Amino acid sequence: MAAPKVAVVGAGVVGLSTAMCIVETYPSCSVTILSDQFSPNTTSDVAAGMLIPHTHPGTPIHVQKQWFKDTFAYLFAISNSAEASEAGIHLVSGWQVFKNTPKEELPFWSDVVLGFRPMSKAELQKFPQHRFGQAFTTLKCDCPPYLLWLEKRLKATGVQMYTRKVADLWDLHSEYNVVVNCAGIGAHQLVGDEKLFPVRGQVLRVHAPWVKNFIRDGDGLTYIYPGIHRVTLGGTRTEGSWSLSPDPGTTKDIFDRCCSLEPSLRGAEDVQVKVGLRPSRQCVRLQRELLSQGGVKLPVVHNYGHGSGGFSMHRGTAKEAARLVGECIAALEGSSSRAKL
Amino acid sequence: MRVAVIGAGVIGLSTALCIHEQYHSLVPSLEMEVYADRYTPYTTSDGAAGLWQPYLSDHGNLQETVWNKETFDYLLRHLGSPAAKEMGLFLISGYNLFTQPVPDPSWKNIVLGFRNLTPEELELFPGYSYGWFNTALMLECRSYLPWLTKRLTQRRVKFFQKKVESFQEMFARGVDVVINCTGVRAGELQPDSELQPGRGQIIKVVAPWVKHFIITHDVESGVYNSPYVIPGSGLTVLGGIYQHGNWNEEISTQDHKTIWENCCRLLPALQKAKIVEEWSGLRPARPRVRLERETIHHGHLQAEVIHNYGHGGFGITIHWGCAMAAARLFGSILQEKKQASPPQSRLNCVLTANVLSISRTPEGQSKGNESVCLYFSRYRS
Repeated sequence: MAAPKVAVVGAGVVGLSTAMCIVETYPSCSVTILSDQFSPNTTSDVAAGMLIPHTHPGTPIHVQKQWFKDTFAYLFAISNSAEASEAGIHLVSGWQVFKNTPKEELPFWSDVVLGFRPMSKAELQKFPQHRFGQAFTTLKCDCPPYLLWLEKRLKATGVQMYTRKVADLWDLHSEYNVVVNCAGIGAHQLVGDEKLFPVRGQVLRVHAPWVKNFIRDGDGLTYIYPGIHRVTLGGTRTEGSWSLSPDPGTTKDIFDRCCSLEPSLRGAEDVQVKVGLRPSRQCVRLQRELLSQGGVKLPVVHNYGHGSGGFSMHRGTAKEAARLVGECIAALEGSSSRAKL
Repeated sequence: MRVAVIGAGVIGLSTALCIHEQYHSLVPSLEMEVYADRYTPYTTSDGAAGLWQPYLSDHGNLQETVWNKETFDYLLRHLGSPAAKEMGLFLISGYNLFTQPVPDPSWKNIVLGFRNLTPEELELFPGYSYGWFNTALMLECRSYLPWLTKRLTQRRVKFFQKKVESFQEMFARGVDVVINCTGVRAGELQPDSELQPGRGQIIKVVAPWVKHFIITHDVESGVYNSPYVIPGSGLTVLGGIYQHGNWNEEISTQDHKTIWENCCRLLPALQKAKIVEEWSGLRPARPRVRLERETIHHGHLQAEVIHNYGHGGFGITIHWGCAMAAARLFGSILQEKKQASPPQSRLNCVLTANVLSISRTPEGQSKGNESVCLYFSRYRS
């Protein structure tokens, strides 16, 4: 097949990184990105982009760990390079604190992040309501910078990007050989996946440049993540809510919860409020599907449903998706050579 | 009781505040004044990044280690207070890097979460094979000094922009106790061959993605002569210059080049950082801090000086412990004065006041009976 035409639907962190992996692994492909939203209007732009994995119940732990390791290693290399500031990738240290001692003291990712260890008594004194904690250093992907950096690198390799709302993957069958579905929460409508549900997250972005460490409550609901220009304060996890409108009562609640972890936030300025819908699922849907109508076939690779773990897993799942795209192309080439016979 | 603090850097202002806080209610006649030729943002303290971190070795100077700890604990207590932001006080974590293993520092149990670096972390810093990670504090003087000034002003401490030429000049004005916080130029008031400038230079850049301090160490070059990167609440400070004996406060282009190249090698992303400011200053270096009383005789009189200078590159780190020690010395001065002057009858005091007022300059006019008695006691000894 001369230059397989691959369409990637979705331009969040998963769509862009998947396109990147395809281009890197199969340079002969012509990759086009189609999305109704681009940065700064994707779900990824709302996320803080912290590399702290969320455990998916439906995926084997060793697989999630590999995805996280791949992602961490990839971003670690960028953070260490001259591109770090443009890519929005930076190291950040901090604490995860628990009011009650967690069931598992060592999460699966504890040996992937840097310097993971239990907090000392002296460190815990800063959090009088919490009895246990973990200190570590991890990476943060600031958005929009990270997405814009990916877009810039993609464009440099010749990848085209179009604003287009794809209503049905089949619509693409005549223009593309393979379609990669990175539509995130959009997959609910796009492919009718009832197992995909939104988990609504509201966050505040504030100006508080003296906050240099992250703080996260182990329940995952309250967190303070310092980014390049702003600190993200969170959050909420409202399952099943599709509302993208900020709720003022929630804003006050988030602010109060974060101030109780970090009192100096009372002096924070210029509060911006954002809402994103985490594309949640028991497990990431990372698999091939062959659509066919009237003898015409369209190979699809699905890569969506990352929930809270989009940033933590993006590169690992992108690599796997690219590998699946390679299988699709090989299958197409195989059948086309059979057709020649 | 007139107290003159000479010097308005972190040492002068914090010592003034500490003494005033502790003794104002005990000595209602306490009048405090600050004299300095330079005020914030033009003091040596203003050029410092503000990181709390002592030198690697205390050279057996346990007293200084105690003062460092007292300062850290004092600042840590203020972290959660509403004043923290105005003080320029916040937590910061970071790295100390070495090319070979070194013994743990005297301050390992003072800071939070001190540990060695893992091999993975060392991959971040090619060329360095050993290191520490810990969480410490930043106290930015461009916020802290104005905050101290505000506290002092509220307490009616007066400020004078003046270069004091001698201790005598202060005593002639009727000052009872001089607190000498003159830093690197203390030798101009009283020669001190142990006090030398430790010249430093820094570049301030916009690099808000840097969230950790990174201090490298080169055993051969000596302290602060190896690159360091310290992110503040606004700009990030790049440094790594320490020139003993160099009084030159001008910016050196050679030093700029050294700092820039070394720091960019350490953190490649800094190449894209915009340079906003440059500064050069003189650390008041001394083998140990001079923190002691001295009784100075002038004519028939004697007056007290409390020296508090020579804090090198760790002034912010040690300031509060020293301020409290200076306050204790002040307390001992008060104690001696009380012992020297048992309670006087009012009549005696008034008579003495009349005698004193003839020989006193306008600035030295006494107010109230208590201060008169103290002046009287000075004459008697």
